[in-house]
Amino acid sequence: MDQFAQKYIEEATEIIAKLEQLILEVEKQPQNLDMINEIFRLMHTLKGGGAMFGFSKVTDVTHELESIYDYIRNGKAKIDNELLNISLDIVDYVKVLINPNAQIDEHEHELKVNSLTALKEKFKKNCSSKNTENSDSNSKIKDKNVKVDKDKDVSNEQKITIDESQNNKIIEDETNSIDEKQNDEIIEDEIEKLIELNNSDELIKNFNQKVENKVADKPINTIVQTPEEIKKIQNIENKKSVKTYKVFFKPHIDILKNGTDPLLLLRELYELGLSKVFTVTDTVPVLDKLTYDNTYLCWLVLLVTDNKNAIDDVFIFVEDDAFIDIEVLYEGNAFDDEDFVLNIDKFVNYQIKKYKKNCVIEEFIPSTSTKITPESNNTDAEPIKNEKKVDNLDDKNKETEQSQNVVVKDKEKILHEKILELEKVTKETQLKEKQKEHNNNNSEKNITDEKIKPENISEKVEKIDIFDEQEKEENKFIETEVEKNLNSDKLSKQVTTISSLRVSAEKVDTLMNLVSELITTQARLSVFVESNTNPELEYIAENIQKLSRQLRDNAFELSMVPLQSVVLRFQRLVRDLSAQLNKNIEFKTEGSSTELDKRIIENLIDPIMHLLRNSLDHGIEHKSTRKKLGKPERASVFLNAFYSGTNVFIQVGDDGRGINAEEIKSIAIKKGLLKPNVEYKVDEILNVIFEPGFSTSFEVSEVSGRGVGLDVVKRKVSELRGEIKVETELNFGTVFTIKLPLTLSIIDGLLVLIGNTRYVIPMSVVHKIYAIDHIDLKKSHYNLLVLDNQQVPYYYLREEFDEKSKILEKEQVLVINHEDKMVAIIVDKVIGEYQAVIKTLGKLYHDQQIFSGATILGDGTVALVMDVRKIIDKFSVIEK
Amino acid sequence: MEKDTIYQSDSYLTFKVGGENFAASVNKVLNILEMSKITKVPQAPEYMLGVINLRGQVLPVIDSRIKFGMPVSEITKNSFIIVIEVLIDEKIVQLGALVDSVNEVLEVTQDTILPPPSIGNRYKTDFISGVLNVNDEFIMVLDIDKAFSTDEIIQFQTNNEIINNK
Repeated sequence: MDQFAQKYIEEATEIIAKLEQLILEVEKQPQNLDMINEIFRLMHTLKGGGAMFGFSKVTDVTHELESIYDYIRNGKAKIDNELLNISLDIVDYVKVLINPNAQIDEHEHELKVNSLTALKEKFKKNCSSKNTENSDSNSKIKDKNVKVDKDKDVSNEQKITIDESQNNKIIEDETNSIDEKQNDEIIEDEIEKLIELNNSDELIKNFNQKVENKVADKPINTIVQTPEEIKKIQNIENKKSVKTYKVFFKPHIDILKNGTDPLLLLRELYELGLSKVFTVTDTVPVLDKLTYDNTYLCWLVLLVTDNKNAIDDVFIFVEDDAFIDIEVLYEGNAFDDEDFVLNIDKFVNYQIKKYKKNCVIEEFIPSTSTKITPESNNTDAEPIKNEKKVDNLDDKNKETEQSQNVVVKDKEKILHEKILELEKVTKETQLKEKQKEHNNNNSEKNITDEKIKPENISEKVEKIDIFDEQEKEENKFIETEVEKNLNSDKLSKQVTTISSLRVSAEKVDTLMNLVSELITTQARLSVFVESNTNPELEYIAENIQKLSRQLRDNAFELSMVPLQSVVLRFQRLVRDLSAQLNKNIEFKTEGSSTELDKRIIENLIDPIMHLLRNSLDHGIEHKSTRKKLGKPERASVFLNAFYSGTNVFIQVGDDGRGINAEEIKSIAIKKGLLKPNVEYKVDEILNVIFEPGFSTSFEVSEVSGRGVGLDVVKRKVSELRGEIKVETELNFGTVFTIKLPLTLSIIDGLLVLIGNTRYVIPMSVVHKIYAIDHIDLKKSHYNLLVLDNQQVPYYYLREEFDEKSKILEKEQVLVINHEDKMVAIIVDKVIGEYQAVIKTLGKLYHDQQIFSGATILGDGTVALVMDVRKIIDKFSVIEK
Repeated sequence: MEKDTIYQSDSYLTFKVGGENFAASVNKVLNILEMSKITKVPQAPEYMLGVINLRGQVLPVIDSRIKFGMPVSEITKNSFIIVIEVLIDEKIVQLGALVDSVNEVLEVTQDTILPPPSIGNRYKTDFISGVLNVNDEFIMVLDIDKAFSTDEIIQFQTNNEIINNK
């Protein structure tokens, strides 16, 4: 099960990231219903998965939050800052919860859940108060529904009850009483009664009887109604009251192996509302052919609910592992219809046969006929489980009695369409009669629009809508049927096209390694072919070279990640920090689609965070100061990224106070980082802020400004073979520019020879190449060379590397641009260009920092890749 | 190499370094390579011979003779690099160890491994987990993790010293 939990954690992490982003975006546009819906959906997914994989705490908190967002998406409440803060807090908390190593304080958890529940109650209250103000009965009922739905203890029947009921007052009273008196005697009575009845058929009968009784008992309640009111009810019925869904669920035979328990899904369905579950058992093979962990069963569920999304959500995790067919069967509660209840078995038989015909169900024992076992009847089965449910029966009855009294004609029609279907198969005389009775309606159902009687005009539009929908549904079904028939492979062909893949970073790394290996092997092949002139072999080698180059480019693209993937973090940082600092700050990003090597991005997060924090804390002035300076009150901090050549530039900047170079200079002189009485260029002064000693001095002296930990930023950036620069203008802002190579794992290099060993020097640092006589070198003093009338300090690598082989007469000088200064390094010979795939030298060579790695050459030997910056640093330290 | 099948196995690879016999659990040995061109890494300790290309990976190679404080002789055609897995700071690192010759794989029952000799403080015995006596010749069973995760040069006792101390 562990690996499933792992999968959930992965998925949850992704969802959390999305949630965070959405919450931040909703803040900007609180009216965007799509986003709120998406938040709700993501919360729901998080919750469902949490429950499934044992993260019950995640479920606790997300459940409450989900409820709140449900109010919002239904327009019952508005998003406010408090909610967003709490949402973000919970998102953070969930992050902790899904971390298997995290220690969770039970007490704290309880507090969190309680506070959420309180918040939910607040929202709920708001909703109810709104209700009373609202005269529209529709929304009242809907509210009610939502409210009850979210109340854990209140059962599903009640929801339906309230939905269809037209008498708000009564229900409201009832709900209240339910809430308050949990152990109501009536409930107990009902339970007892229900326990006695364990046959579901009996239950239905009993239920129907009850309905009838109730109708007889309380006729006044429903009959005495103004035509206006009736109309209203009809509207409710038509518009958005419950529907009866047919849910066919055939899990893939291997579903258990994927860790999904179909029973849990059925239970979830069961919780959605009034339901009846039928199990198809004749797909189960004989015992000796039965594999214990295969799933042979499939289920047909008739479910009354108002929430199609909820049904979809139940199956959200198994979409790919099961055949799922969800169809609206009936507008309204089909279980209210006696005819339907009576013929339910026939209907189910027919449906199952239909699925069989479409090869959705494979029969393992062809000889036996379809056997259907009614598994549970939610109407009143399992009464002990949920005490409240029973109590709802009362409501239910009342409600049915009402709805039965106000049967809308088209409702009947729809039912009879279904019955017509039944009829085709069963040819029941009883049904035939029934059909005849409504023959007019049925036979002309295809041209309903024309047949609508004038007095029904008010309903007409709605009716058409319904039928259109119905037709659409049917068309869809036909379409899928055709599709199914075409696909002989049945379930396996249900796979939809996938536009993107999630691949573990590890796999990509492996691929990269393999590609690198291929490239080096290919280089060997090329070397070999050059010495063996065989035209055919040459041709093959050339092709391989071409292909492997393409492969390499593709593979490297795979490991590139857009900066966007981490921008969210920065957004969050800016949001939280600006609130904390009481500054009004806008965060802008540009070019966040710029792609960088995954490893670079990972290592960039901290430095960028640091720069942003500096900008927010030190760069941006307080509101009052900004006002005085006539700057816009809303400050801006930006993160830009763009390509230039083979480099990527990332800029972090602000429109704050900027850096005062004079101030920096005086501090630097005090700290001994700069010498007094020396003229420095502004750049030179500014670069001091990257010095390790500088930052601490700032903290100690509490001088407001920048510089805290910028040395760390610089170090991190240079570890990525990058550079950092700062530009600033007093009172206008500061921009940090980070220059990075596109990828860490491949570089354009210059292959050089020192002694018998070959090395690679990154091409990007090499400025010029000169040839020099060794004798001239000997003549030079203080390691200074004169090149193009310029004095250039040089490093003689032969000596530094302790190379003892014979010195060549002619040597070569590489002029390197090192921090805007020219430095020369001398090697024996430049062999040529080489595209090097860099491999790490590993732990054992950790101390050899002058090499950023090694690469494998065409002949299979290893060449070391120099980190020129480090080489210069290292050897200049020695000289001092 | 399946990680989860590593139990205390009874197979040991024996090899010679500087005239001494050593044994290492085969669970720790991944590969035995013939000598190939080793790329020297400048500024590294002396016993770090350099790096080689092991199927596209860069593998550091240690000269066991220097590491174990043995006399360094010419590299012959008998010289091999054994690729071993060493646990360094809780991470598994692959490295190559240059040895003078590789002998055989011995099947040994645990009880025939004698405890490492304990004589004075003059020699470090942490790096050997036991001694095998095969045909009156002593073979030191190396604790690969300990022997190769240290930066120091290890001083081992010679065969004669062990015999003398018995």
